[in-house]
Amino acid sequence: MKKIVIALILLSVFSYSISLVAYADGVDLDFHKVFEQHGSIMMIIDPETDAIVHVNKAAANFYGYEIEQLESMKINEINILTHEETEKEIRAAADEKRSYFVFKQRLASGDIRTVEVYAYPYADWNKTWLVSIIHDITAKTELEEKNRKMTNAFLFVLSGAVIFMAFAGLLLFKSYRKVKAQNHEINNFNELWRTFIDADDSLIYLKEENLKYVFVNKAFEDLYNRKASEIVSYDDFDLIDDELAVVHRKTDFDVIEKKAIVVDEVKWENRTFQTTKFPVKLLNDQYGIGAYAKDVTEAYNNKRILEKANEQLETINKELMEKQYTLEEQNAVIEELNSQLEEENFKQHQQKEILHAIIDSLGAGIMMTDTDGAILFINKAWKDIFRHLEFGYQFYPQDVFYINGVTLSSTERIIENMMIGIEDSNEILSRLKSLLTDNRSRYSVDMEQTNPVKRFINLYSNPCINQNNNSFGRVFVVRDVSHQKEVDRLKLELISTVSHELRTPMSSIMGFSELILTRELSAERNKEYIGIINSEAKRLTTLINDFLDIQKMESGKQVFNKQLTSIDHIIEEAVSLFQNFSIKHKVIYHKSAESIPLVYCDRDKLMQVLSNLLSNAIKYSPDGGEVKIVSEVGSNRVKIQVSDQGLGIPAYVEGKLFTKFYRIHNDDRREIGGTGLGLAICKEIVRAHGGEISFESIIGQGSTFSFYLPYSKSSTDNDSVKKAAGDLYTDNKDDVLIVEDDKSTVKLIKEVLKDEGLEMHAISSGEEALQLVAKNSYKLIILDIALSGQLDGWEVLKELKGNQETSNIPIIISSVYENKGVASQNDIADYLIKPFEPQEMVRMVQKALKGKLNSKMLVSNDDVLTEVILDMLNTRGLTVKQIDHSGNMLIITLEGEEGLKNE
Amino acid sequence: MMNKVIIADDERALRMLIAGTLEIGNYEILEADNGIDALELVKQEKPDLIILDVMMPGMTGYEVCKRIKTDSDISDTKVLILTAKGQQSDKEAAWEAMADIYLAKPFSPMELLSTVEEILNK
Repeated sequence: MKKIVIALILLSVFSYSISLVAYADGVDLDFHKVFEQHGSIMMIIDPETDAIVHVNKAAANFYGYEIEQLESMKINEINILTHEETEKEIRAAADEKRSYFVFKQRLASGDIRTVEVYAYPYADWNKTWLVSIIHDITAKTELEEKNRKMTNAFLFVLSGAVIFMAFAGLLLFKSYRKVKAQNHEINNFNELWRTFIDADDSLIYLKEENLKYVFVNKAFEDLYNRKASEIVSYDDFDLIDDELAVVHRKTDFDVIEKKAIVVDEVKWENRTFQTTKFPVKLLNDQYGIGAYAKDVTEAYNNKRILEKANEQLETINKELMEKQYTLEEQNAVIEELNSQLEEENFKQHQQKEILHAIIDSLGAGIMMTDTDGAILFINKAWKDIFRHLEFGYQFYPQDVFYINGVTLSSTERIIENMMIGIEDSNEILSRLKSLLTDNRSRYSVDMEQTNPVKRFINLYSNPCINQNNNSFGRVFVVRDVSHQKEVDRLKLELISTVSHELRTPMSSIMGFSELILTRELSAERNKEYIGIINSEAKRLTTLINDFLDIQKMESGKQVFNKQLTSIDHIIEEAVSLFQNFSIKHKVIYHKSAESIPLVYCDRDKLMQVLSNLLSNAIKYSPDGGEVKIVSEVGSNRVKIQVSDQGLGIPAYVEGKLFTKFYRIHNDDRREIGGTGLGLAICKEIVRAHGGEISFESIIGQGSTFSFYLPYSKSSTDNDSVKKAAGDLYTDNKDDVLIVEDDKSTVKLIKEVLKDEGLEMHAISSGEEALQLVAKNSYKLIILDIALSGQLDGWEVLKELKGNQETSNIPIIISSVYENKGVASQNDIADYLIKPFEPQEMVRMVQKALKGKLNSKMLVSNDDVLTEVILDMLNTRGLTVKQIDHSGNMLIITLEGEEGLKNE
Repeated sequence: MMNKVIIADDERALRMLIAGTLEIGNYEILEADNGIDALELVKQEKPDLIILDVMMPGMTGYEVCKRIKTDSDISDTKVLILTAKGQQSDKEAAWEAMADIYLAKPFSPMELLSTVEEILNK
């Protein structure tokens, strides 16, 4: 932009100058106007007095004074630099070889402006003047300043001629004015301007309308090396080669025809000329061509150099930018790599942490060594296993996982310390040491440590092999296998105990039966042997049953049929059962509370507990005495104690007594038989009821076994419980449920079945029947079809058979009409058609129960007789279910047998 | 000459069985129901043979056997170990205790009889 502005200014200067030239010949030239109207700020100064001799309009505008005012001022009234500063600036300009000075000047308004002053000395006839062209550079930014400096050379070259022309014009004008003012006549005016024009380096010439030269200046003459007189009347074809002449001619025509100013650049003999051609009105009213041709080779070259430099700069810039771009790219890649690396690092760190956590959480002690035998890490379990050793802490802190700086020798020392208290450790130790630097072998060893702790340790060591089949270290794993060893030992012991327990009676059975078979024995001996065989077989059976029981209980497979039951009743029953067990023993029940709360328990199993404890109490007090049962009611539990006055239990067995197969062997007990399972069974049963069993004993004085059962408070009041159960409460003694709405039929059934030793309960509605069946376990249901409630017999039947828990209960349908089809479809035991024969019903019931019927015995209440009977029942393997007193008679109810009625 | 045999077993039925088995032979039979008594009886009676049960109160059959065999006074006593266990480890324990012969329960009385006869005839 700036360049264009300068070019315009120059152009205007040229035009003025040329018009001056063009009209110089006899025309009254208005030099004043040329100078005054010039766009640049111009000033002519007398360097001797510093007086401003002349200024132009642009200067007046710039400084804000009238022309006359300025012309009466001195330059130092405008320049605000001190004399020293001015001197300094002039020196700097000289040093830098620049053609301008930078000054600060004050305007009329008081503003301070920074200006560039181009000063050209010009020698007049008798005096030297200083022509200054001033540029206001105050507003220029630093950047522009740089730019300006760069273009300075160019500017200077271009402006040189202009200034000169203007200056010449000025002086002419001035002289003219002076001439006028002083009435001084200048005759040789032509000569004067001719001098100025000839002083110009530029080619100045004028062509006629026929394109022949009419005037050329000295520079023109010098260039062509011909006299002006020769050139005049030549045209271009006479001066230069045709090709260039054609170019000139073309522009010449353009100027004449279009009356336009044409600027072109022509190369001639390695030089570049910028020619400004303009139309000139000749005296004959024709238009000729005025031209001002400036050798711009230098400027052009400078420009070229500048352009080239610019280009290079741009290229460099571009390259730089590209480089910067690639650098950025590289940076981005590096950043990406960095972040990946970081992520990788993080992952690795995380993996390491995870590995650490896993290894530390393992139960087995793990130590890893590198291929040189130096420890890499030790996990928590390892430290725990060897925590009794202080050896480690000098090598590694307790809570550090990864170990640094441990050498082979310290690893060896650690292992040596580990072996303290290990049996036969020498061989193991040397093996372990050799393993440290051995990257192939595997090793496993069981060690028994006796000091400072007694335990078994399993140690194994494997090499760590990577995918390339190279070893990168070795791992040592230690486990405390004491528990495992103990379990193994117990298992072995159990097997040998069971095998012993089974083989002993087996030996008798096989041995005696073989003797009977192979020998002629007396009848008495025969019977004796058979008796032994029998009792040993029974012993075996009891053993197997007990064993199966305990297995079932221990594995949690035993189903406990719990009901709200009166503990009191069970105790009383147990006591009555053992009352006459032995003549030497007296079994007493001491009830400490008036009412004992109902306990949610399995009646049969609890009976088993009491039987075991009572039979133990009797067995282990061979000299007889008192066996006492005491019941106590606590705030939330019932405590039952069974104590005897027998042998007592030695203190050392504590903790083992309730272990299965555990039996105390000593002389006193040698004849007392048993499987060693009774107490273990008791413990399991009591525990299954949420209670605990324990014992206290003084050797020689007797033992007391106590167990407690929890009860819930709400069950304290029998009545309320019964009410809560909706009047459906039973003691679960009932074997048969009669669902019948006709009372006389119920009475008849009860009468008929009474002799079969069955406990019966009758209910009239189907709904109630279902509730009762859900709560109790009946052996048989006799079901009428017409019932009092909503449900009829068929619906009750469907419900019972559809429920898995009740589908196995045999059902006899009693009805007035027969419908055997339905009966067979529903898996009905039998079909009883009313009215029925009593014997028919008994037969059906017996068939349905398949031996599940209970038998009842009537025995006169005589101690000796009862004992004999109980003994007999016992030897026959019959279980007494219940003994009831009736006057001076005992009613003994037996479970599951009907064949005793005859005896 | 009548051979003297001690039967040591804590099970009465087994003592009866062994005694019954040996009944038809010409043996003088003595019984003990625990290990300690059995050893004492051997020292007193100096029997030709002792039939020892392993699992006995007081002292195990192996221990009794070992004591007999290491006591020069009675080390001539033949020892037959009867054990309810039937495992290899028990057999080894019997040999370790220097028992003359080992018989596992349940045993056949006839086999026992012939074993006893064999030992005592040697």
